[in-house]
Amino acid sequence: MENLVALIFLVIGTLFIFIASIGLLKMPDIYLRMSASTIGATFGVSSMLLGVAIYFGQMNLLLHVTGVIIFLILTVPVGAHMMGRISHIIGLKMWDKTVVDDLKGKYNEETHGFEGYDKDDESKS
Amino acid sequence: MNIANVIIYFILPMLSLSMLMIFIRLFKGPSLIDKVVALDLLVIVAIGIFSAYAVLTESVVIIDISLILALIAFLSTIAFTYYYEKRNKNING
Repeated sequence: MENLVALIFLVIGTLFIFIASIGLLKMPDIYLRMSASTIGATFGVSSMLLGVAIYFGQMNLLLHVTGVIIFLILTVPVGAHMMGRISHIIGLKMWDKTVVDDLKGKYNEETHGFEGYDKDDESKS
Repeated sequence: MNIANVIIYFILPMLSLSMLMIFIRLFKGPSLIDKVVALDLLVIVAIGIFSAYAVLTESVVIIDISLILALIAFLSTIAFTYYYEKRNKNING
């Protein structure tokens, strides 16, 4: 019974990682690629590690795995935010069917600071 | 429905296939940030392969690697983006 639950967790995690890598290969845009890879990989690896902890059934292994999962959930979005920020700053092209870019003109060109408003947009100020 | 058979015939081939696709993106990626994203995901898929291998060989010690790999993935991503931003920053006009 425990083996079956562990196996289900492992298979779900594998499918998540597989879908994430398909998204990384086939998405048309750096931002969409980053979204697919981050979400899929975090939940996939978390599910696989939980499956391992259920399979062995030891308390210290469960604590260890919980630490790894909390670390992943805390750090993977931070890395994705850094990558999305730098790719918006250096001006990578978006997909041509993207309708709105909320960050357009809100980063300072010289100091890379976040201004919070668009200096060129006269209608809002 | 043996767990070792499922790992050998389903989980490890799927993970290897996803690693192959990530490698294609790593070599093809149009910009440098694509390659950084691919490297990040590559390390995370390696954690998945290690955990499946730990179940296959019944050894708990392999799980210890996952924490170190997660740490290395996070630090390399942060360092790469930080210095790539420094390189593109134009302070002196």
